[in-house]
Amino acid sequence: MRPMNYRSIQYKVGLFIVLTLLTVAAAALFVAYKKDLFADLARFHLESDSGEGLTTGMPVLFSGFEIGKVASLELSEKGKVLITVTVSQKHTRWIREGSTFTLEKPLVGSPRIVVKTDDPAAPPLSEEKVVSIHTVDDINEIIKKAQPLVERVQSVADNLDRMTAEGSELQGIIADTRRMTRMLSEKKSLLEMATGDKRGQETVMRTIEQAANAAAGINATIAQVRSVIERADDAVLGDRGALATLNRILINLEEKMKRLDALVDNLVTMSSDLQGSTQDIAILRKEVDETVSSVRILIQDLRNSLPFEQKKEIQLP
Amino acid sequence: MNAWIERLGGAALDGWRELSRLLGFAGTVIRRLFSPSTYRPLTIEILTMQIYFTAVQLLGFFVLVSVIFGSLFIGMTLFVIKEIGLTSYIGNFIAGVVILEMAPLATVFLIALRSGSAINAEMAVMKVNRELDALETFDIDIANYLFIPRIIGVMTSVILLSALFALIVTFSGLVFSAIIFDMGVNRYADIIAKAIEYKDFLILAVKSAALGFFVAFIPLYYGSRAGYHLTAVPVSVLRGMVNVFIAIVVIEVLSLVARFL
Repeated sequence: MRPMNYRSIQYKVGLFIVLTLLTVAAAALFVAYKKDLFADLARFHLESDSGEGLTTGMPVLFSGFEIGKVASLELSEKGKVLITVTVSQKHTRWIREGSTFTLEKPLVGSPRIVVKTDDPAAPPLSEEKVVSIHTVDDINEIIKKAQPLVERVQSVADNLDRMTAEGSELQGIIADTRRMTRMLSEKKSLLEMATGDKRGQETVMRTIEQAANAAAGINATIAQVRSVIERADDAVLGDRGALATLNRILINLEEKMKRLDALVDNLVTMSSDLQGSTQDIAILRKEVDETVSSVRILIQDLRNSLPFEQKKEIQLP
Repeated sequence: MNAWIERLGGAALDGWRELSRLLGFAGTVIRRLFSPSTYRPLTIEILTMQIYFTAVQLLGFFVLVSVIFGSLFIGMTLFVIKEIGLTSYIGNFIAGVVILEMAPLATVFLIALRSGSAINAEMAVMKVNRELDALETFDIDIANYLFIPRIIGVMTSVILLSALFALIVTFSGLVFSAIIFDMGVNRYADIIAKAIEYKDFLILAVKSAALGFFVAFIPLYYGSRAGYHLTAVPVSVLRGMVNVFIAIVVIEVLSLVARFL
């Protein structure tokens, strides 16, 4: 059953299909244009000793920018690989006489041909000319750089071989060790192995016993000395020892000295007061002397002024 | 032990018979696809309706999902590419991963979820309602009338929407490469154009067509083989969608193997 708005649906579906197809076609044309499908191409010829790493479609780069690609590979009459590269006309100005072509095989990524031009003013490279291509292989470069390291490792391995070879010093050391171990297993003790016979071992053992006895005597002496030291320590440093008593005397003396200091201070004060009093007595005496003198003068004056004075003659029998 | 081996053998034989039936029927449908007598006005009408339901109705949502998902994916990936110093491989990444792998996969998942499940349920309900039996009684070819227009409609939709997705994400890449790498439009266009091969267009179309075929065919097949009870409808949809998922994975793996061999 056809829906009512079928024509509208038809229109929308048609529009969707047409617009999407046009967009995809435009994208495809754009890619084709960018790939120089519509551009005029120049063809250059290169030559290599080997076709290893070369494929058609391989990019040709100038300053890291893709300017062309390998169009074909064939074997020349001289037995060399003839490489034809196509470069769009707008990029041919970068390819000059003296330009170098290098096949680079990086460790990571696909191989490419790199063009270098030192002199951009040089005449353009002829499309008829065949230029030799150099090869730079990252893996080979790494191998070349690693070669000294490999040689050193080889040298270390050789040394190890020499050290472990039959009759080498290391083998001698191992043999000596083995002999020593065997001797040790055959003798009763390491001492016997060192002295060579059993009597020597007995002499050494006797000497060791004597040394042990002497050490015991020394230990007893040391114990006595320690006891004396402990007693002296108690007499000097104990609670009732000399040092504690001296300490108590010193504390007592310090207290007394403090009290004596206070007494001396009082004496100084008293002396100062006494000195003040002495001065006051001197002043008082002076004032008294002056008063007495004044009174004497006054009496003299009174005597001169008043006839109090009578001559009293005492008649002596 | 013997019983266990018998059960295993029985399951393997059942699986093989089911796969043979499926592939045999797929072969019949594919032959009909290339037969001019299949395309009658009614078939064209159903085909138009199917494209409308599958692609045109979904278009707004699909563009939105493409912009958001594609931008996020390409933005993060370009950032990682910059971090690990593989800037010179942007073109290869966009051409190889985004256009050839991600675009058809994202599109087909979206269509499988939306249209595949709907087709499966529609067929199962028609089977329960005995509409399929009625069509057969009237000697109407179910394959021509029901299967072919839906399959072509879904295939066309997947092809066109995948191309649209690839274009949108590639455009997102232009924006992000300008932000992350400070790359101009011309430089970006050069890189992408150099990385894309002409065969990539063909690979994208063939892969999308294969995915579209199975996303429509498997639900149709399992829907038409549903039982006559209503409870058979969800079971049929479940089986159909699981097998669609398996088919997508198988096609993806096969396409990867074909590309790198």
